[in-house]
Amino acid sequence: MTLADTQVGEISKILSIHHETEIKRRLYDLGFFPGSFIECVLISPFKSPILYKVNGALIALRASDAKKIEVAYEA
Amino acid sequence: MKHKKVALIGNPNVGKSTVFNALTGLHQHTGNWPGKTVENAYGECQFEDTLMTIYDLPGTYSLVSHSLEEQVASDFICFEQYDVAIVVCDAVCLERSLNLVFQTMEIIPNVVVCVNLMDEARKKKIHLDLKKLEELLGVKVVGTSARSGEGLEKLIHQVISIEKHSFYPLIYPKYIEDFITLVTPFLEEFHYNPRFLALQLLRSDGIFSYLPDLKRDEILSLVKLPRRIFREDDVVGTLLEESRKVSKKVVDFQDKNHDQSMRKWDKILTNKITGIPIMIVMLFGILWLTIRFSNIPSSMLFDFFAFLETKLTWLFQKCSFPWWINGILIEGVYRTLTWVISVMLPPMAIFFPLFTLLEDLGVLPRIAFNLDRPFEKCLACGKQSLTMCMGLGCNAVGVMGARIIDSKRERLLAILTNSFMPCNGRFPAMISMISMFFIGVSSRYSSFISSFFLTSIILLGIMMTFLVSYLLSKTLLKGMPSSFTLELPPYRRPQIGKVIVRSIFDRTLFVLGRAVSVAAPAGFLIWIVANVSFGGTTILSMMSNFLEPLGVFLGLDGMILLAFFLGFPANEIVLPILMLGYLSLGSMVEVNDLVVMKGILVDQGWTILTAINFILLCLFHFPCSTTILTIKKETNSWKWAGLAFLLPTFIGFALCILVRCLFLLF
Repeated sequence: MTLADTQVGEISKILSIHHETEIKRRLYDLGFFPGSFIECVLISPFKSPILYKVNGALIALRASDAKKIEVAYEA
Repeated sequence: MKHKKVALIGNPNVGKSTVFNALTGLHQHTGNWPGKTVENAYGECQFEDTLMTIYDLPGTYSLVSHSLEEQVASDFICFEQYDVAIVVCDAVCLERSLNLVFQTMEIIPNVVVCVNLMDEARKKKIHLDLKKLEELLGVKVVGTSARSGEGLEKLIHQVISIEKHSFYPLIYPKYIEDFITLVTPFLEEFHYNPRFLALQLLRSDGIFSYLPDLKRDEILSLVKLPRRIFREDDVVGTLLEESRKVSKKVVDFQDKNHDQSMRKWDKILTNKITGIPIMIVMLFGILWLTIRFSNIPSSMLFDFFAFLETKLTWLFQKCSFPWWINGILIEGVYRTLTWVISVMLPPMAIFFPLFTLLEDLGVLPRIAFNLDRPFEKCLACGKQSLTMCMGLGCNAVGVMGARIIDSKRERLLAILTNSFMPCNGRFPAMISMISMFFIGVSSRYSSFISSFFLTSIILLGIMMTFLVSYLLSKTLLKGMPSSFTLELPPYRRPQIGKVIVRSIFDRTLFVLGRAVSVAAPAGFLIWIVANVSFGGTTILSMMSNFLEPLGVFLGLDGMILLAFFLGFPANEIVLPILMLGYLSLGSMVEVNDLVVMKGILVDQGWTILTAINFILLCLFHFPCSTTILTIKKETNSWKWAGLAFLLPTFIGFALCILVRCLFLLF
């Protein structure tokens, strides 16, 4: 399952990020890191970008970028 | 007197600039636009017997930079000489801020951690144990709320009395630690932390150009093997794990659902149905307020300056100056100058505070959030909408603001299309045309209808931005959209007083000053060319006659084109030049209201078509000289500056011809 599949209000845990180094580093700095918990907060009027809550901050990612982040629900 | 150089660094949106302004006492007024916190943004602060020069670095998430703006911050922290670094953290998301703290502490031991936004954290029932944080980090930690001034004195005190701390002991995976131990002997003689230099070496050879004394060959042979297995993830992982660990020990969330009320607003502003209309209504509202309330002060200024003019003329005659001195100074310089002030000052003094208010509230990033998808479809970046908003104030600023865009290609798109957003300097001319030719001058709802027209004109500019961005992406600037990350800061109650001060001083007077400094010489020049004649024709009519065929072809006339060309230094003076030109051809009248002005224009053969095409050309023509120079500076190429000149001009001409054809057909 990917981050793009999570619904508004759901919290998931990042397993791995399949991006090139450059973008991956940016995502890391923003708090998207394996083991982080991410809440899906809002979806923008045109379905992308999607707003996530990470470490108390609100960060928007494009749906296409969120698709490359693998997540799972914490049991 | 002791002297200290202090660097101020922090994530975006943590109120770093508020801390800076509070420390330096708001003495720094050189344009506080987003993306402009760069270059020489420093101020001074004296406390007891220490003078501190404080450098305000652009907000950054990490010292490994992504955008041009962040590059400035990371270069400064890594390679400048300074005594203390203040890392400004966000009390609400400390964990992320700690990442930057650790990175900074790896470079310089003299760090003071400033945990800002303590008031916001309290409101959200987030409890922070700063004593504990100080203990864990081994550096001084000060909690502040810069907006209210809480904790700032203590911060200054800590900066002055700082003692040398040791570097924070981050432990990396074994192969990195092994390499660090191995290479340290070669790095010890430099005044940088050997661990930091070692990590830089693992990443690239870039460091050799900064430190030419490094023993290149020995080091390269050492680094060869570890570099092969080196993964940036190992470094970042260590940093993030450490941040997580420390933050867990320090932060206590007593209310998990603290941001519910804020989300309610976001749900409305970014809603599928209401999101876009609300943004358009906001644009309309700002324009309406600007138009509605600038009429009266504008005409008051006009009257005042006209009154002053009669007095001055009287004085000049009394002193029996030659007629041409009166002509140059009064009819040329004075009239153009006062015209620009009367027409520009009131709308700017309304528009800029309103705009700054929205910016302070945190509305602008929501616009980028709503509009990213259409931009992505045009293979551009949603942050371009932020540069467009800035462009509404001033295109040069919009161009500079494009630094917030990471990808070079997308940044160029934003720069090249910025002039499709009419800047403040172009509003008055457009509004005058709208009221003269599309709604009766004295209509009761005229300001309402004008704002409606102006909003539509801006929407046309937005569509053109999308279209041209797409076309450029398919031709000259081929490429795919890159990834996009955008932080939406929490809504903050703006500080009205500061908003007004900042928008008046930084923006209104700055932009007006620039227009005025061009208007005076332009008025001088215009009067000369309008009054010096060869063989019975003035230079002005010669020039306008020369442009006449092209003007007529575009559905305009020669004088209009001439006014646009002569208005190259500043868009504000296009209409004054045009009127001056027309007046010098016909009878001399005072132009203090639109009825008279319309009379003059109609006498010169203006029709609805002329008015439409004038507005179109206003929207789509070469950006002013300041903007062009900014583009040259930002892209470092005359080629792009040239394209930025030709592209809108071409579009404007094409649209004018199209409209004229339509008029001829029907």
